[in-house]
Amino acid sequence: MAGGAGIVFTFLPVLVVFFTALALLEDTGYLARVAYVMDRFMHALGLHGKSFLPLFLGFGCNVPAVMGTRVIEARSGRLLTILLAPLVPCSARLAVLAFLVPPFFGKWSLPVAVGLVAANIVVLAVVGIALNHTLFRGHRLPFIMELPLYHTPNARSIAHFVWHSTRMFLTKAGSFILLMSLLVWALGNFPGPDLESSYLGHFGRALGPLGELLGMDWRLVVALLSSFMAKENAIATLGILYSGGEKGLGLAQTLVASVAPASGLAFLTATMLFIPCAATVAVMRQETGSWRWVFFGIGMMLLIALGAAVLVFQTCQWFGWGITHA
Amino acid sequence: MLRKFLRLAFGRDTTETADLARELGVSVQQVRLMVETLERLGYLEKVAAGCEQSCGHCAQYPACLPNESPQIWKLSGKGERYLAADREAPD
Repeated sequence: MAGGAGIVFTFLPVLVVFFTALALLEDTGYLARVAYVMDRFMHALGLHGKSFLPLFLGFGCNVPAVMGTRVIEARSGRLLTILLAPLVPCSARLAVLAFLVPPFFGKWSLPVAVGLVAANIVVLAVVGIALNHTLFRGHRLPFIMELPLYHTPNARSIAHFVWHSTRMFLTKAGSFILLMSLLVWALGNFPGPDLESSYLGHFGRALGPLGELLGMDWRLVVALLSSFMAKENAIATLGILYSGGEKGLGLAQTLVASVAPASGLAFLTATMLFIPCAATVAVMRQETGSWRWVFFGIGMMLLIALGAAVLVFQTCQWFGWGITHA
Repeated sequence: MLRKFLRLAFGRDTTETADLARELGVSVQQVRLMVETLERLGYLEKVAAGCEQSCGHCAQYPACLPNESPQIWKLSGKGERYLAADREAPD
């Protein structure tokens, strides 16, 4: 179980760098300009430039991104932004990416990681355009904007932002993720004697046909499902489910030894596009005031994530890429 | 001048006050004054930059840098009606 929640804490350095970069961009007044510059691109998606601010917040966490849509007056624009916000790769998903890509793809890590993030943005754009031309056709008014002046960032404000964001992450890792790891550990150990005959093992094997299509064994499918509670849970669950591997090997090495790169890529693709975490779902319900839109968003993302993962794995299999270990 | 300002500002995509000042051949301070006047007359409405609720009640407040949000104005109902009538009227 320590291999579960404990692994999540290893994300911390990546997150601190990310929070610092975000705070610097915001505190210099650059983010406000990005919103203005992005106005035209946002119009193509059927969104206003103001949607960019909440969507950009989504890179930190999808929860404030959904809450930030309050700035958009037109209900159609607001709903569209809420539905698109979970497609922005949040810091938790980026941390999963940062943890899993290097062991699987070695020197190709950077292009693979950038490609996965870019694919997320492309999917966001395609879904935005599709929804804008089908469900949302409200008219959107232009605005007058006065941008804040560029200025030297304030070290105290940045330190404050990074400290509170990090503390929020640590609180989540030390409470919610630890609790989930405990649950996964218990389900994976009872009634015993081993993982294969546990409750989780039975549940996982029932998902076998889906896993086969996705190129994932049941443990990867269970890890993907557990990410619904919090994205970092995917790593915590993998830590528990693969802890019985070769002794002396860390999670990354155990995964590389047991999972083919094509399956790893399919897993990462699905994780990046998978349904929003429970906290985001709760905020989506609060902000839309309707379960109908929440279920629509979840269903849409589930289809996209699984469809993309199947496509990635089947394409790799077709071309014989990464099916066996190098 | 205010009519020209409204036509220019809302005849296309979102505009920045500095661009408006350049196109109208006036200073940014004068544009700000026009915006304030139009807001006072009810043609423009200020949009809450960020969130509608006060920061004190927001769970995200500790991790927020709210001072760097842009100031945003939109056309009010009165402003929309005025521009619609203006577009139909002959010059």
